[in-house]
Amino acid sequence: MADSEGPTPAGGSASPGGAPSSGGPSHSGESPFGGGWWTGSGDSIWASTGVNLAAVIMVITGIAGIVEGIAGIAGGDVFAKVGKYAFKLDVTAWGWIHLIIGILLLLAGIAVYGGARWARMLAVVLTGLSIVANFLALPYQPLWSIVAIGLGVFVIWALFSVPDRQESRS
Amino acid sequence: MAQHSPRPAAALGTGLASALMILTGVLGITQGIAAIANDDVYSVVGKYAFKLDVSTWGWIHLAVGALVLLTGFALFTGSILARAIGVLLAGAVLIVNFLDLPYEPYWSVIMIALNLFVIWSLFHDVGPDAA
Repeated sequence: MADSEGPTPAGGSASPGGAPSSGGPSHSGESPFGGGWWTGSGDSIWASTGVNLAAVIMVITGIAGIVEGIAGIAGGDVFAKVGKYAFKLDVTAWGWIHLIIGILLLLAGIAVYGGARWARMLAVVLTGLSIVANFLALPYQPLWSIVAIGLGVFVIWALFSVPDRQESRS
Repeated sequence: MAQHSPRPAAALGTGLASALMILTGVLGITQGIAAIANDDVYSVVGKYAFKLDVSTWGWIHLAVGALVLLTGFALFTGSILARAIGVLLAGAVLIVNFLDLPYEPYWSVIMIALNLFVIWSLFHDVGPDAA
């Protein structure tokens, strides 16, 4: 039942960023921009809005992770002292984890901008990793983690809301 | 849209829900492990109607998290049954996290938000593979 009712990509109502893209492509098959590198097969340029959204937020999330990582590595009083904890790591170790994942996210975000399908799949996995890392590191700086997790969830949503390039719109 | 193109990845129609459930499953499992290890990140709660040993909450998180993880993978088959189970499980996780919120509020708030999103995604085929 959900199948028959849900063919609108980008979920119309519930998509702040995707809303403009959902109206566009189905009606304007002929894009004034033709088929550039951003459109796999002569899609409307709006189809790439979803990719751009995901890519931009991924880059932002990556930078946030890098900043978080540097703060952790430099050590500081912004991190809470945590007692016994199954996933206890040195704040510096968490810093390196955040930094590395942040850099990977940044690069993956740029790759997503290229529009490749593998880049999106990789991006989903990396963003998932980032969310898990932030969940585990949450006791050290809860609000940063919550923000990073929120951004990550938004990225995953955006990555799945991208209209497929191979799709023919006729 | 695009009913004509054969799509090998048609089973990925619930890709977002799968990804989110795998994610919340992993998070629930780690939440459970932390609780079973009786960590200090959990606050000490006084009198509380739903007071359970932190380890008990941990086992609940761990068990439900594992089920959520498995259901997330099962969603790749496109099974309607897996979706129904997914909705029930996500609802259960949501309630469990509501009940044990006093022990680690931030984690619970995140889990509640994520599971709402899971339920939403299970009712909406989002994205390129929506059949």
